[in-house]
Amino acid sequence: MAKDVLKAFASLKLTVVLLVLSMLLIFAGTLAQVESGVWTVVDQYFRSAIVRVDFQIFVPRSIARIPGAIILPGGALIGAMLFVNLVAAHVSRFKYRLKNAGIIVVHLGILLLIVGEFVTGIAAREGRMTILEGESSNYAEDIRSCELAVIDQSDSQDDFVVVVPQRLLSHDSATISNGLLPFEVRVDQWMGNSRIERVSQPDASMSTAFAQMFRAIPLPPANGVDGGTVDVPSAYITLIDSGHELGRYLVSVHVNQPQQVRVNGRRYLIQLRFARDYKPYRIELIDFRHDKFVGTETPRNFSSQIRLIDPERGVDRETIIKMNHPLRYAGETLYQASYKPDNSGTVLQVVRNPGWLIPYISCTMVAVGMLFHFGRRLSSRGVSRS
Amino acid sequence: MLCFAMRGSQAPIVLACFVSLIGCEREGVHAYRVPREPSGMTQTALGLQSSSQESADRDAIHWSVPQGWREDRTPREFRLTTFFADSGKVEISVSAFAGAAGGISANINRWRSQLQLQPLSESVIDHTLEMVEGSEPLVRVFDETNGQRIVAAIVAPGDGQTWFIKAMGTPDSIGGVRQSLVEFATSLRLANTGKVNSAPSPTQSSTMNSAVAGNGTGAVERAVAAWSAPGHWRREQTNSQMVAAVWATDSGCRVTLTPLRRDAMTAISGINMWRSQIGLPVVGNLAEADLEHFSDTASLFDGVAEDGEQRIVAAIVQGPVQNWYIKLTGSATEVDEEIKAVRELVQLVDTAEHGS
Repeated sequence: MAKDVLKAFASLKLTVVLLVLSMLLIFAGTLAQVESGVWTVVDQYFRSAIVRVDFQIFVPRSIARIPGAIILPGGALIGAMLFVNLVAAHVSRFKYRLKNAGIIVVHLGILLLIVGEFVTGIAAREGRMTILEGESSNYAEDIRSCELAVIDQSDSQDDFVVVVPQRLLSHDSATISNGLLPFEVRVDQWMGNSRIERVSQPDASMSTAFAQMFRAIPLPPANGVDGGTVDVPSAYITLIDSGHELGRYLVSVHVNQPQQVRVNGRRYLIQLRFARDYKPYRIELIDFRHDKFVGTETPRNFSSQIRLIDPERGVDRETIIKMNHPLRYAGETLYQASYKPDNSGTVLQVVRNPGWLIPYISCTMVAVGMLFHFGRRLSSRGVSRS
Repeated sequence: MLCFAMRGSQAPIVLACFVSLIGCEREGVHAYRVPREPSGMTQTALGLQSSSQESADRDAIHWSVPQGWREDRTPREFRLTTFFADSGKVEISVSAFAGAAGGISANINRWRSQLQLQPLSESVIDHTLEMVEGSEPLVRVFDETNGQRIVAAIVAPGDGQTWFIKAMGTPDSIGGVRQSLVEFATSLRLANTGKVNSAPSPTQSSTMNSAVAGNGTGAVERAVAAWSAPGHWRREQTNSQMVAAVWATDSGCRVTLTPLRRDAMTAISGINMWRSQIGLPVVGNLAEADLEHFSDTASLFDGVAEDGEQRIVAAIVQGPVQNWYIKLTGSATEVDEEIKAVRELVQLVDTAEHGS
């Protein structure tokens, strides 16, 4: 029976089906970016087990409305199956001889590439660190997801922060209850992307002046073709303490200031914000330079002169991060990603990817394997002709 | 679709294993401790930090920062910005006010009083100032020592504004930055940004001395001195002679009490000044300003910046000789917490001026 299973997984038909499905998935995933953001598509199509592909993505809405959808295996499932398929083929079918060495190395490289993508998908973290000149920061923000932070400032020096991730918030009527939270959070309305506008008549049903004077309007998700925009979520939430409603609040990533909530005389701050990843080090921006070619507006150089402070490792040094010259520190890479519009500050992309080296190794293996395989065949043909 | 290539009933089980493995969810509600960030220390990726009055005005001026000076943009009352020189030992303030002669005299006499020197008349003050030759716009330098030393440059660039760049400290430390301070002053230029000038009106500066000195009955000053402010309000020393009293709250709000002669500033000017400070468009008349009728002699303005962050709640209490301006500034949510106490203060001032 085990032999049958192995043979089934080693099937060349399965390989062909998986490759066809891969192409279909890439095609659908590309078209899906017309209406969805790049990272939404990456998560939904390429890093999921199953994906629901609406027929509408194949036809612009302006031409026709197409109902219905098809369920396809997602990129993660296809990748896993390809991995198993290739391993099973080697176990059951391949013969390990010198003349097959090139093919084996090529296949090992491909297997490593698949593993590398899994490692990246699971372990890689990316965020943006925005710092003004003369200021410093010790966290990166993930602009692809947000979190509701409940902050207790009763300690004189430290903030105790309880974080509710977006995946728990992004359902209308969801109620989040957790021992770490000083109250329950009921999501009355979740807006994955939104704008804020001022109301002409204050809404007395809301619990803070901000919520009374402003309202959030849902927007369609930022898509992959309009360039540079990100989803800015907002939500109407109700806070509940022991069955008693404390009030209704509007929280939004648009708003940089937290709002106050009092529970049993204790003061908390609540804020919907991009998910933060705190670092053991701090980056201080000494100077940001945006040089242009003389007499033109064409950028010549972006660079950030920074001070890196890591008390745990006893590091306190200055360095410069510029285009194509990232700073690698503590397993993370800090790239010069963007800057504040008035050049008053910098935006650094902070990337932690334990699998960053794997694609280089796997591509090298594939190249070496192919060279060996085809080189050997060419040389053997030359020998037979002579 | 995948199963046709497999044999046996194992395929669904294997598929289910893959799906469950891939579908593992990441972290849920969690908690951590972080050192408290000073207010305004970091920026979000969206960069929606509100622009304060200071930064708005600051953008209207171009300058060249001397070597070794470090700018500190922490908002301070009536300052455009602050620099630190000599490795942070010397603080240099940069302020801009609309108005010329009266404001200059008032400021110079205030500086003299900080040095325990007698005030001088306007005509004498002119002779005490050193003109920087060739400066355009004209830069004049105040330099006095009496134990401490103050060096200040006064620049009148046109557009009705006067800029003051001032450093105070020991004679040696100030002597070390004098030259760079003068060079900095001569580099100041007004940018043509078209922004509404939110500096106080010309008449404010010229009338503040008399207003604070008690052209009125002094009843308000006495009432405020006897008033019990909320426990989390800290009375602060005012470094501006225009402001009679300043409180700062633990949450970062600021409350100022400013008397002005009735003819110094119209109500609509004051309201438009506040509106411009939080980035709101000016209004043409009081009807558009949407004021709260607090009493027959007091009105309340409540404005929030378009991005919802900065908020100003301000009252104008009309007195027989002077008007009182009570202004609460801070983030929208923090201001919300302080309104009740500010209303008490408005009531107090109103009652002191007009009786109960």
